Amino acid sequence: MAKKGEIDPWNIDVVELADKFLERIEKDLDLRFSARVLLYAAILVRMKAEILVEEAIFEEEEEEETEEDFGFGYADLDIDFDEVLAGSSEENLEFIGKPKRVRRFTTLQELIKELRKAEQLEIKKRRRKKITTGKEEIAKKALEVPHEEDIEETIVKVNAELDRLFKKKDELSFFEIVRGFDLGKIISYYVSILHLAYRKKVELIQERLYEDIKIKRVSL
Amino acid sequence: MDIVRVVEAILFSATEPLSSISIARIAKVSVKEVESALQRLIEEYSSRDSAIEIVKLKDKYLMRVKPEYHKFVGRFVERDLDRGCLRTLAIIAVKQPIELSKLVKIRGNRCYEHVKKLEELGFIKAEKKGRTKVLTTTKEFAVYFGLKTDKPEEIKEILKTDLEKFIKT
Repeated sequence: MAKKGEIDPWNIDVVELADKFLERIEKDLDLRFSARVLLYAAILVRMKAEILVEEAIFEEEEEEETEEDFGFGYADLDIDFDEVLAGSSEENLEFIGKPKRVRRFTTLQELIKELRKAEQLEIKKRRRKKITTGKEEIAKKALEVPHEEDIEETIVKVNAELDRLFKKKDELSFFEIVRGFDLGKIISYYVSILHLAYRKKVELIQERLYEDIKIKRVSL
Repeated sequence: MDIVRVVEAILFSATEPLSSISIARIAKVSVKEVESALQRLIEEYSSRDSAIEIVKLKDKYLMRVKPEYHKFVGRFVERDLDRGCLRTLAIIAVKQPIELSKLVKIRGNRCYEHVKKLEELGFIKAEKKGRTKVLTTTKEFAVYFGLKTDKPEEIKEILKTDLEKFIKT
């Protein structure tokens, strides 16, 4: 789309992009393709969120400088302001009003303190990375599973099985078909039946989410 | 007026390190005269049993309290390095020699600015290695923080030991 000049890559209208994407997948529905696009989009959003969070942490850590961090404050100066005002000599008043000119240098102790904070931040980051890596591994494994190799084979097999069952009944129940199957097989059957519905071989009816799916043969 | 004492007065009053050029401009004398006065002052202060010293940081000079007395004067001074810069310096010191690309992974993109500033102050040096730079601390770093050695390996050990002590306290 960017190449065709339909969108400006530096200023993407997400709503427009999503509409065009939906339009495209409606035209040429391939569940594997759309699922992958969703997965990649989720990974990209996550990567962006992580960058933003890390930047925010750096900023947060660096902006939290307080008087305490300098080990210095008016409270430490041991001044009784009431007493100073009571004495109210011009010199004392001048001392309160004038900005203080101080020598500036950094001590080894402050360097060590920062080292400690950097170490704590690194531990925090490593922990976060460990959690992220775990999740990314799952996503990677999901992508590595050779779904595409035998999907056609499975569709043909499921279609044959449906043909056999339709000889006895006009309407089949998905739950009945997959009863006793392991999770992997249930998913293969589910995806195959979705493909068959897209190819207009069967009609699927689900009245409520998560409830049974009724399968009917499409009469040609 | 004795130029040595004029330079001494300027250094005493300055809150930041000053270059000989700046001192010459303030004192209205030549840079050469300032440099020879600075040399005399450094010798004078180092031969004296004093809590004050004059340190040279790259091309600038700073009169300050010796590091061993820092804990007594903390309330009268301010840090001259901001927190981000100081943290970047701490990581370079403890992980040196460290590639700039690795430092960026630890500290984020903001560390490019810190590295530039630290190089300007003379605390670190960067040597080109392929497409990246390798960072190490300098002699000025050791002088500034009152370390007895400027060898990277020994500095790392000192910092690690001090860090352990700090954690315990």
